[in-house]
Formats: sequence, structure tokens, C-alpha cells
Amino acid sequence: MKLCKAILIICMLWCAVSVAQNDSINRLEKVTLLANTTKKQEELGLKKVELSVEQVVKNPTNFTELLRYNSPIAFKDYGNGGASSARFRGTSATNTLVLWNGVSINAIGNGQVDFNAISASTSDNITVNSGGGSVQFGSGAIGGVVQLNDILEFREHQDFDLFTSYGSFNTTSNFFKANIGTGKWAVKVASTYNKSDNDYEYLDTRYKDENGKALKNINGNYKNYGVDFSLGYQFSSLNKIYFYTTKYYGNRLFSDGLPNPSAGTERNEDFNQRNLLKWDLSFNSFKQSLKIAYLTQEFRYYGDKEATEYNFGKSNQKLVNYDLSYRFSNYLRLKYTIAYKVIDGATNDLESRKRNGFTLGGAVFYVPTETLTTSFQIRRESNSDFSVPMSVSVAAEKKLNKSIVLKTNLSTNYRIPTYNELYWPVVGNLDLVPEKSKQLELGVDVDVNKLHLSATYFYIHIDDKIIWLPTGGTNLWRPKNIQKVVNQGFETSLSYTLRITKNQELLATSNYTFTNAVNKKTEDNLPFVPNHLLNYNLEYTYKKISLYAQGLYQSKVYTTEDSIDFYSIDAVRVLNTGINFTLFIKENTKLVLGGKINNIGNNTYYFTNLRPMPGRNYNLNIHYKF
Amino acid sequence: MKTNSIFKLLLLSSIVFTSCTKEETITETITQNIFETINSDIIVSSEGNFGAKDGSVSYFGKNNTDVFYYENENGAKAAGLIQSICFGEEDAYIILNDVSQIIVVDKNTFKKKAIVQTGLGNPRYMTIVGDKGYITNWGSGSDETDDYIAVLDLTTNTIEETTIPLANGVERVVTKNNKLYVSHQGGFSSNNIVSVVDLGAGNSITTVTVKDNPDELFFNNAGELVVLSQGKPLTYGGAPDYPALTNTTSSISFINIADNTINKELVFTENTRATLMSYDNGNIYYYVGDKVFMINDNSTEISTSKGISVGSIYGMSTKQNYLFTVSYSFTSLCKFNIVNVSTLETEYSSAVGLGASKVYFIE
Repeated sequence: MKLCKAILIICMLWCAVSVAQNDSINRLEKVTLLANTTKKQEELGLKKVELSVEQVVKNPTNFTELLRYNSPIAFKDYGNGGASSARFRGTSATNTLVLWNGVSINAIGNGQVDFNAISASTSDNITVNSGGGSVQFGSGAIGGVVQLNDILEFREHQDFDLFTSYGSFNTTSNFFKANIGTGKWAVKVASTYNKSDNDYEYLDTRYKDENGKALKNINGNYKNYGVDFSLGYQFSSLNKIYFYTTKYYGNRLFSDGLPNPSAGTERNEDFNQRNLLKWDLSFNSFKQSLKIAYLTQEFRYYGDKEATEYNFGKSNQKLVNYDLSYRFSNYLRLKYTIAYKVIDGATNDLESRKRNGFTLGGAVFYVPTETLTTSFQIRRESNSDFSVPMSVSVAAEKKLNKSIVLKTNLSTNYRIPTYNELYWPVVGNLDLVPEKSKQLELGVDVDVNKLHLSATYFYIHIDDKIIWLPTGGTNLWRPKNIQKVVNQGFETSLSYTLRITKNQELLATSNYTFTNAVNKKTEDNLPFVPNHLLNYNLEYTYKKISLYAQGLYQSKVYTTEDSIDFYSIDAVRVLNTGINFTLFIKENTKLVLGGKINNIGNNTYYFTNLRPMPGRNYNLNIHYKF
Repeated sequence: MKTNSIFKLLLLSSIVFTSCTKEETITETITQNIFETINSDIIVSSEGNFGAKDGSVSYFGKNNTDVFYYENENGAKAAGLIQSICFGEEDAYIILNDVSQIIVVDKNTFKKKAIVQTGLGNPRYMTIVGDKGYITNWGSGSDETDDYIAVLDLTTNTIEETTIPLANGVERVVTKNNKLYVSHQGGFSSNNIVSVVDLGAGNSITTVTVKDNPDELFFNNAGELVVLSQGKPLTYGGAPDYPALTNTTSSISFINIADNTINKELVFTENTRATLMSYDNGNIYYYVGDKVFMINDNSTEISTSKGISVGSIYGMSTKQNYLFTVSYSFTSLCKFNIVNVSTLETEYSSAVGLGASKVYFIE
């Protein structure tokens, strides 16, 4: 009801302001181009991977799975569909920032995003940026940033996208998306619905039930749904207003895994709601963007799934962000950002606490020669709870020739302590200071014919890393600013399209990351960081049929700094295969029928100790675009 | 697989060696002496972390040591937080708290024989009377009214339907004269009673009030029930150790089991917490701060002088004038030390699994 009201009010507002404006297609194109360059300049020297809807429909079950097979991020999930955290380059889950249309959605409580509790399948654009980005996005952007964007396009079009799948363990994943443009208006309506009994049999035969029978992933079922609505209106190509809103509900049981899944009794509910109003206006050489956002998040945790009482954590965030950029010429652009954020969070144990943050940022984008682009960005946040270090980034990209670009980015980034770390009853530590990092990237992009290769060396030095540690005698775990860590390695991604004949095509994409993460105090390797992480997708298309395989390799990880086999999780090797058959294709209409076999080798594999992932399983799907 | 296990062996031996570098040769010879003196093998159980399913069992015998004994014997981890182990005549019962399971193993080989899970809810400790095992259970951790004792039929390894409901926070359980004595440490909150369950009188229950958070309990040479009440932590200090600054009174109570009255109660000075206690033939050892102190059955007050420095420990046992301790560590391996109480020398030392908490003797 509130939502409808809000939309009504906004519609009325727009009607009232509707003034005749000039509109020219030429101009529009120019603006779009400029927007792209602008965005690129801000992410200068960093590596990114963009995911398409074709990738989404190959891994529709949850967001963890999608990114696991298509991005350089390492995930640690507590069994299929369970709580899932992401880490770039051996950093931590709190160093992975997730943005929804540019607004941070990391939880106030633990600073993380549970990648099995967000719906991403209806996003129009999913971008995975590796590397530090605090200067642009603020707290948490140390390892990398995952961006979920809804795209509103004004050009006259009507695109509908319908996907439905059904498979093993009574799993169904579905989404519907409509993107419409009328010239003046742009609308997006989308929804997603996912559900599974998730009661797969455990393949690890070392553990049986009391009667010697195989164990199943009982108490692991989940259900979630989300709705998105976005609306844009352009007064002119230079003056546009957008409104985005989304709502998500998830209801999961947390599986206990081996050895006694019947001991699992936990249930968790998630409620997220996000709203954003954005106004973009360009005049002369100025471009300004005003964003107002209101976000609410809540989780309810039931220790006993049958019980009505629960523990909760809830928060709301209000945010105002104003960007102004001035373009002197094609060679020089300045940007100024001012933002204000109010966060209010509470749990069942903790009365509401407010945190305010006021941010000032500035940036210079300078293109000294035709082949060299540079940027200097700076950002300072003053937070009601801490003194936050200034973030700075210096970046450059040099085009060597038609196919080779060299990139570098030097930045300082930070992550402010979360509510749990500060205020958790008894153990919260009010003496914490933000984590600070110094980071360097050296990268090269190679584009030859249909081959795109991107390789980056990274160096991340984090001071005051916050770690929860047990404290002598009292048996309580408390967070401390204790560690100094250095993560080094290289990250590569590759995509290659080979047209074999007129009817045959081969497509390959892959991500590989080598990481060495060391605790500088002990010189030990950090736990849960795989040295090698590789995923790949190979797709062969012949006329209307395409066959594909996707693989994942994660080297052995240790669960403590001792690096002993007993405290380790074996290397993961999984191979999935699928087939897509295009039943119908004509102009904008496409109907694809697909089938997929996950874990074709029926391998036993784990991402957390003794919380098994599913064995071989099947899925049938229909993807209809019209 | 083979190279893997060789690698494991190498790693393990390197751990054992690195942890006793200097005393390497001494350890070898004295080891023999220790095991001969105490005339038993040693089992150390390590909790691991809650939910991480990485509890472990170590074995130290006259001729052999095996830091990850259970896993090596069974080819799989015990897969839970090992709260405690109860030793029967032939079998041992490994109590996994977080996954509510008991693994029944052969006492001499630690090979898995059966598992028990139906009827358990957050199991803690077990004692054996005849052919029954009595297991304290918290039930749901957040529910203060559902604690109970589960009864395990040792011939069938199944939990009987009838349980013995008890007050909140059941912890350790010992037995004498067909009665169970249960300390109520209080689970996630706090309690201050010892329950006495008379198995011969329809499981009738009497309670004895002691100081807050009673944990370890045993019978001394005089036949009294000796109970350590840790006291309830009230406030914690700051970084880096966050010690408990203030707490309710900590005490050692001596209960006359004939009439369930308290013979004497030795209290610690204000805001001093004793967190571990062990008994060795007339001597009561307890852990305060980073030292272990000793009094005897007849002492009339707590002594906190002439302690044995042991650092931060999470578990201890005593036997034949030896003190066995395990260091407090939940993020990396713990250290198992054997100290000669007379000479105060550490005569043996080895790495054990993280979260090590109990030292048991198998005769």
C-alpha cells in the first residue's frame, strides 16, 4: 500500500512538472556515450567482469552459484542455499561490497551480504569489479564490488523475458522481466520466485544414520521471492528522473549437514526493501546527479523452526548523494560528490543505534594524450562513530596499440566496524577502528579478434584487520583490530569466440585467480583462502543447438592458520553440462528450451567442513524472450 | 591417498617435534617414566569450534602417540564439538554437543561401533550406572525449562523413552550409591544447584544450593561430594584479553551425601574465579588466573600461594602427582603439557587439536 502511494505521488509530481523540452536523438546518443566513458574513467585501472542474462539462466538457482561459475569470487556457503559469503582475492566477506543501483546493501549487523538471500536474476546488469573502490563507493570496497543494476531505457521498445526451470529436489527457479520504453517513459517490472525442498542425499558414505542408511540434507528447504519496479521519465535528453524499488522475502531452513542432519532446527527469514529516487540533469558542461535512497533490511532467526519467538536484526538507511561534474573539454573533467547517510540498526539484544556519515569526494579525470587516460580521486567520510581514513586513488590506462591496454590503479581503502563488532552484548568492542588498506593493481587487457584477455597483478596490504578471537578464560569471542595481512596474486579472465563455420561457433570464458594471503604477524597463510580458483564455461553452438560445460576448481583450503590436513577442506572439482535448443527465433522473439546436469561426475565436495553440496542433479528450463 | 597419508604423518611428526624441540631427547626417555608412573594411557579430547565440526581426539600411550587418533582410526572426523568422553568397561562414548550425537567406540582402538542421536538435545556429560548411561542434555539452548537426563541402554545403544527432567543448565554428572549428582552450571545463563537423582527411588530429585555456576564435581577420599562453583562473570575488562573483572563468589563446596548438606564451603576472595578443578588422592587442584593451586581434603581455606604457572589453559587433570594441562586455543593447535608437581618441571609436551578441553586416563 505504501509503495502504491509512493508511486502515485511520484507520478503526480512528474505530471505537474511536465514541461515541453527539446529532444533530439543525436544528443541522446552522445549523452549515452559520454555516460559510458564517465563510468569507465571512475573505474580506471581496475578489472571487471560483466554477466549477461544468458549466464544467469545457466545458473539460476541462487546468486552464489551464478558468481561461482562466472566470476573470480570465492564463496563459502553452508551447504546448498545456506548462508553464503563472498571473498575477492583472499580478503574477507566484509571486504566485499554489494551495490544495488549504486547503493550499498551490505548488512549493518555483520557487514556482509548473504549471496543466497538476494535476488539477482532480474537485474539487467551484473558487474563484478575486482580491486579497491572505497574512493568511489566508501566502506567495504577493499576486495571488490558486485553491482546489481536495473537499466531504464527510454528508446521505444518492449522487451519481455520469462524464465522458468524445474529440477531435482523439487527445485524451481523463475523470473519475469518487462522493460518498456515509450520515448518519454521507461518502465521495468520484474519478479522472481525460487523454491526447493533441497533434500539431496549426501554422497559421503563415511557417515550414516543410526540404522546404517544414507543421510539426506533434511532441514535445508528454502523459498524466496522478489519484485522490482522501476520507472523513468525524461523531460529531455538532459533531464531525467528515475525511481527504483524492490522488495525481497526469503524463508530458509539452515541445514546442519553431517553427521546428524536431523539435529538441524534453524530457520531464517529475510525481508529487504529498497527505494531509490535519482535525478540526472545536464546543463552546459555540467552534469549533476541527485540520489535519495531509503533501504530497510531485517532478518529473523528462529533457533527452533517450529517456535514463534525469534532473534532479529533490523536496520534502515537513509541516503542522499549529490554528484556534480564539470567537463572542461574532452581532456579534462572534474567531479565533486557530497553524500549524507543515516543508519539506524537494532537487534533483539540491542536498542536502536544511529550512525551518521557525511562524505565529501573529489575527482579529476585527465586525458593528456589520445592513448593515456588518468584519474585522481579522493574521498573523506566523517562518521559519527569513528575517524575514517581518507581514501585516495591514482589510476592510469595506456593504450599501447589497437589491441593492448596497460592499466594501473593505486588506492587506499577502508572498512568501518560493523554494528555486531561494536555493540554485540558483552563481546562488542567499542575500541575498534576501521580496517585500512593500501592497494596496487597492474593489469593488461588484450583484445585480438574475438579474444579478450585481462590479467592483473594485485597487492593488498590491510592494517587493523578485524578478527573475532576467543579470549582466555571467559570463552567469549570478541572482535579485535589485530591483524596485518598482505594478499598478493594475479587474477585473469578470458573470453574467446570462435566462428568455426557459418553454423558453428565456439565460446569460451574463464576466470582464474592465484592468491597468496599472509598474516604478517605470524607469517602464516590465512584460512579459507584457496591458492588457485578456476572456473570456465565452454559452449559449442551448431545452428539451433548449443552444448555447454562449466567447471569449477578450487584448491584445498585450510580452516585454521596451522595449515594442517585435519583442518582443511579438500580441493573442489565440479563439472556441469547442459544443452540449449532454440525452438523459435524471430526478430525480438526467442524461445529456448534447456536441460542441465549439475555435478555430472557425482563428486563429493564441500565449501565448509562437512556441509555437503548436492550430487548429480538435473534441471529443465524454458527461456522466452519477446 | 597413500602419499596423502604419508604427508599427513610427516606433518604430524613435525608438529610433535616442533612443539618439543628443546626437550626432544628428554621427552623420549621421560615419556616412558610418566606412562609407567601413571600406569595408563592418555586420551585428550579437543572440542574444536561450535558448528565447525572439527573436534578431535588425541592418544598418548607408552609406545605410541597419535594427535588425530579418532580420524586416523576411522578415516573420518568425529564431526562435532566433542564436549566430553565417558569411558565404560569396553566402550567409550564420545559426546558431540553441537550435532547432538554420541559416537560409541571401542575403548581400546577408538574404532566406531555405533552412533546414538535420537533422544539427545545438546548433550553434555555422561556417567554409567550398571548397564545404563545417564546423559545430561540442555535441550534447546535458549529454553531454560527443557533440560533433562537421557537414559542410554548400553546393550542396545538406544535412548530410552523416559527421561529425567531437571532444572536449567545441567552440566557434569557423577554417580555413587545408585544416585546421580548433577551440577547445574546454568547453560547459556546461570544456576547454583546440584541435583541429586535417586535412581532407586523412582528418580526422586533433591537439590543442594551451592554458589553460582557449579561445574566440576567428584568424591573425595572422605566420601564427600566436592563441587567447584566458578561464580558468574558480571563484567569484562578491555582489550586485548577481556578478562572477567567482576563475578559472583567462586567456591569449593564439600557436600555430605548422607543428608545432602554442606559440610564446608571454601570461598575465593572477591572477584577471583576458579574455572577448573581436579582431584588426585587427597589433593584438590584448581585453576585461578594463570596458575594451578592445591589444597587437601582437610584444608579450611582456599590457598592462592605457591601455584604452578601453567599459562592460559582450558582443561586439566591430575594423577600420581602429575598435572596434565591443555592450553587455551580455538584458532590453532593447543599444547598438551605434563608437569611433575614435585619438581615443577614440564616432562612432556605435545600439540593436540584446537579447543582441547579434557584429559582422560585409560587403565
